[in-house]
Amino acid sequence: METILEARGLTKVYRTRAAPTAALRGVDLAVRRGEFISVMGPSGCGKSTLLYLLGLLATPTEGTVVLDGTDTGAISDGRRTHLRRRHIGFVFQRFNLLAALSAEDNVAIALRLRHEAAQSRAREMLAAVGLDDKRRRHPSELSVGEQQRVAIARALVTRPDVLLADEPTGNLDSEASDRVLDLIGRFHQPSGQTIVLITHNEKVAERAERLVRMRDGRIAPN
Amino acid sequence: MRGLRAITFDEYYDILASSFVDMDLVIGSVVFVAGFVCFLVILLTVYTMVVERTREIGVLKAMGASRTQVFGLVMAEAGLICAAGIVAGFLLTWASRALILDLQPLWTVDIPAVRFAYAAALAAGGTVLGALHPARRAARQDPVESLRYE
Repeated sequence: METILEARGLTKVYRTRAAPTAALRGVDLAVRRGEFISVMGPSGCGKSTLLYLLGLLATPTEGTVVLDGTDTGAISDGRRTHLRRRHIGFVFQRFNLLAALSAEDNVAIALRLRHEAAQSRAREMLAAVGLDDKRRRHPSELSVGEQQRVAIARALVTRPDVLLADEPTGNLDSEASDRVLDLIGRFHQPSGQTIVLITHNEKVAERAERLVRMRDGRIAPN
Repeated sequence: MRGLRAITFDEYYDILASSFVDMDLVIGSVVFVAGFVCFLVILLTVYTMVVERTREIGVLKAMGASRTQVFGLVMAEAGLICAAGIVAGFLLTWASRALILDLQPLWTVDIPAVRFAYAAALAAGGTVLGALHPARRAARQDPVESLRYE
């Protein structure tokens, strides 16, 4: 299968007042289209930094990310934004729903940013994650598990090539966590959605087809 | 007669006109101060709004919102505040006029339509100037730092 997302020699150094801190040190990783991989490692090993770089939210100090055949190291910020909008969906640990909007509008906004018809597709997507009856509720009126399901609907409603999930079950109890992981798995299985899931939880990581371990900013050998 | 001076109608008109020049200066100063206050209020309101929504701006950027879209969102929200302010201002003016005429029926309170247009233009100008800096700040926010913002 073709490679949809590739990290080539990714290094990220954060320049702080005290001293430069290397969060990533030459990471190479290739993700094939339709693959479900999890990236696992202890806190501070660079997992989230890797996710932000793969999602084109940050630029590497060295190395590059190749997304769907485009080397993103040599393109403008505007083009990177366009690629992110077209190809990437994010799910965050803290859900990051917009508090002032209903569940339906939270999902629809991802489509509106692309100038696409929004409401009916947002409703379909909410139905797909089992929240059709709660589409008018605001995030504060939903349980944490339901909020994360809205966040997944928002990430997938644009049919991104790659779903990047940063500790999506980190704030959930085990029951809600299982539901969210089942949901992610359900989108992966029939449609072949490419998924990169960041976690520090072994059980969560085992849900993926491939497990990549990180330590001290590097991919650890298996 | 001693102690009295006769003046022509033209002289009287000139005296009257020169006093209105002074009045225009006072009104102009008040308008300038009002415009400056409008600019400051919008600047502070929109800046606070942008800081409070740092995380939300990060989320929008993660979803692929461009700098232009974020800039446009902030300016649009400032525009809504401005529109609400203009409507409220016009209503207050109308209510004040009605109250004055109710209390003093012989007075004349004449506000030409062009004055409303000036007031709206002043508010719109103050809003654009006041919202420009916070909107640019929002558009240029680093998405990762925004997402990590507490």
